[in-house]
Amino acid sequence: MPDSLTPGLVTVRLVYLARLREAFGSAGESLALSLEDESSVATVLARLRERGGSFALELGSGRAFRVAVNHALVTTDAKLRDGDEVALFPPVTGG
Amino acid sequence: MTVRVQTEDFDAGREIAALRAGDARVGAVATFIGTVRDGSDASDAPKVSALTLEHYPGMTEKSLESIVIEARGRFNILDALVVHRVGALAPTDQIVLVVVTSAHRGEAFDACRFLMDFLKAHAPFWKKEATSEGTRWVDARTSDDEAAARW
Repeated sequence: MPDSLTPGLVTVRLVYLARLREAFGSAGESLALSLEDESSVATVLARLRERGGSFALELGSGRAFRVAVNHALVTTDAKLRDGDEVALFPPVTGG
Repeated sequence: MTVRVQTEDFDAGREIAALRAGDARVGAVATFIGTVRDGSDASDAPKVSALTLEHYPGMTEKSLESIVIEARGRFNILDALVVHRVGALAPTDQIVLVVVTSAHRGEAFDACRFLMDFLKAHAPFWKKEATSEGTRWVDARTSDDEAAARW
């Protein structure tokens, strides 16, 4: 049974872009959060930082990055629901 | 109102003609074109030989559309077009086109500048420069956030 159908689990799709994709060596992944985690963007960031390495470095305090949930920019207190797409990326430099 | 993200180049003259075609209310057309420079702001930095534009498919179009909707709410304009290129570009290539039509020039100028300032601060594009010393992601400039904050 996929995680998304398991009671008590919230599974989100993480997307890494630009410099963060290269730093993490990944374009994205699925991450399962238990309900007790009180699923928010901050929870995801804490889980990623626990891995250490480039995750702890790039998402550490003083580092500038942005978060979008389902294609809309959010702050780290944004709540997450099962199936949300959570993108992490550097400040934008288009135009 | 139209937004497009594409790898192909654009023809500003053709885009302007299409945007104002048959609309006799239009008395002003303001246009901005952003192009690839070969230099950085530091004079001793190596020349840029190539530029790669990455974006976030799915979010990019929504972001540009919401910026155009915001412009329409703030300024008395008739129509607006944003075209932004992605992929591999070279110095002198065109990157971005903004065209705004209105009855009078003031609203067209203001909306055009607003669209570019908001695009630079909020639309999910990232530039990577290649020089003789390797490649590097372009850092966001605080002046871009300040430009957007003026509005």
